[in-house]
Amino acid sequence: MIDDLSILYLFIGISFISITSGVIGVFNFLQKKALVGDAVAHAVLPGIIIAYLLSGARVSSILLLGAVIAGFLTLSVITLLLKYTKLKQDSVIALVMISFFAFGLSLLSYVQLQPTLSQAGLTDFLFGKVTSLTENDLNLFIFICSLLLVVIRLFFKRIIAIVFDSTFMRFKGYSMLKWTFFLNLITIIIVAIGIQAVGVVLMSALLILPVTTAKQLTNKRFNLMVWAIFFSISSAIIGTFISLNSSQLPTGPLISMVLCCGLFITVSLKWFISKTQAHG
Amino acid sequence: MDELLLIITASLVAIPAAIIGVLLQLKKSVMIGDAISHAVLPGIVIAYLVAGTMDSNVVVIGAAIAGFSTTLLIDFFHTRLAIQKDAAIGTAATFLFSLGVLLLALFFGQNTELDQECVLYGAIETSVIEQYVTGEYIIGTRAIFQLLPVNIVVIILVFKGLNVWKSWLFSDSFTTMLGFNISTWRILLLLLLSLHAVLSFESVGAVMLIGLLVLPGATALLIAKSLKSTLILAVSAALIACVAGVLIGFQLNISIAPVIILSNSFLFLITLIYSTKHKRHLNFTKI
Repeated sequence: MIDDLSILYLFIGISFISITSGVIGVFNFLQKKALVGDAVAHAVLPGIIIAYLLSGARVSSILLLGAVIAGFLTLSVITLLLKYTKLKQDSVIALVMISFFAFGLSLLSYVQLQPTLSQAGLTDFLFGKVTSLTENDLNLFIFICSLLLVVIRLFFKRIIAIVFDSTFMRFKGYSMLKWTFFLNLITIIIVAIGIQAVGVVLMSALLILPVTTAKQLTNKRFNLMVWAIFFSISSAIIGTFISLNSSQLPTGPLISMVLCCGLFITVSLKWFISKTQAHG
Repeated sequence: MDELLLIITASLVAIPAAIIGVLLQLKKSVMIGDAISHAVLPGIVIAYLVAGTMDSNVVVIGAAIAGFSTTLLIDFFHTRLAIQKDAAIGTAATFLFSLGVLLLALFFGQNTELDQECVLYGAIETSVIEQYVTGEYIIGTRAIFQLLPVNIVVIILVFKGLNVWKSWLFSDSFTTMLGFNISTWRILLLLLLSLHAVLSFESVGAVMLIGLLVLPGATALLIAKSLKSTLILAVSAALIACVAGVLIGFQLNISIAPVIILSNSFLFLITLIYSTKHKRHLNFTKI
């Protein structure tokens, strides 16, 4: 069915996706914007489906483009609504997210009615299916993820300073508009890639959970990054492995479940160690 | 006839959601509602596994309590583990939701595609199958009779205790000073939401409920002047959207729940345009 080499390749691709999402998750977490990733992940669904309907085939680069455009539209609508209405931030995020998602689901339900279109496996995007990724998809994902990682490495100090204290950086003369745009852009791109592997509904797990677990262990920014990458990559590999062995289980929930187990094990180990130290 | 039954079912799903949604929105805790509506899923799946059906009231209440326990989990993450609020909500919601999806995939056979999509947007269309008939008249469906009690309780609770809710939204300490126990009222509200999420799961699924919570309230908040008018406007917006959603969904032959949400969004958009124009006009006259 699937030979060993392509499985190895699949694991490399998944590792790249999880490393990048772990790193970007740290930025979102430090900005207290953990739920924005969730909103974007839900909201890119119509972008993917419209891209599919326009192109007529499941080509990941085009779907990716559709997803990125939809992600941008979402964040701009959220910003506009926050500016021009008195609604609270969380309700604006929720209402934009669910409107886009509902639009996507209606389109999906329409696509499934068409006999010629229904074979594309667009439902894989809901909960994720690693086995549906082809070698070309993985090439593209690895390329974009390494590009993202290089860009992040180049601007690392500035990004950390901005997510840590944006007011200070504004005083130093950095344009917050530009940098918020940049941080949003990398979030949208990693979400657009990640949903093809883990699905729309549970993409936020890949962004939120690694850094949450890492935060239990350390407060130093470098260690936080390292631990987040460690948890992200190990759970992604374990989750993918289980998903390959039992085809009926969707990949997204599996990975997020493994991540949750990681969090619980970390917390209980920490608790256990603190208890034994107190009595020893 | 089917359309009418569907409109009634959809309205009974939408009314309590709109009312509770207004209160949650003004208290800045919409995302807790989102987490609860995601988190009833494992409770429901386990209830199905144990009892084989959703008819039993004990099972419904069990699933509702399981959904409510999300708030305890969020509090635990937030206070004991010192995880910041947004990440705590995200962690609890994704944990319970993925648990539910995995249980569903594990125990409900190979044909999981269908079940997993029902999780997202429910299957309100199937609710017309189980009809209660007396003589020659259809007096309702199972879904309607299940949803009706929650509607009555929510409407009575919110409109009778309007002053308490008003002071609760204004300030916690003020409410305590008036002699009300805030945590009792809060727990009551979230328990009702959780119960409603369980009962409306078959109709709109676990993900669409957040739209019914947030959209009518947001529409109403754009134009309303008081809490009472906000609640009434939110309910009317929800009702209009239900009628439009069911009719359009029926016409186009696509899933109804997303179309109801889209009609809500459309109403929000129209109200937004109206309110901004209105506001400009007012500002102009003031100058």
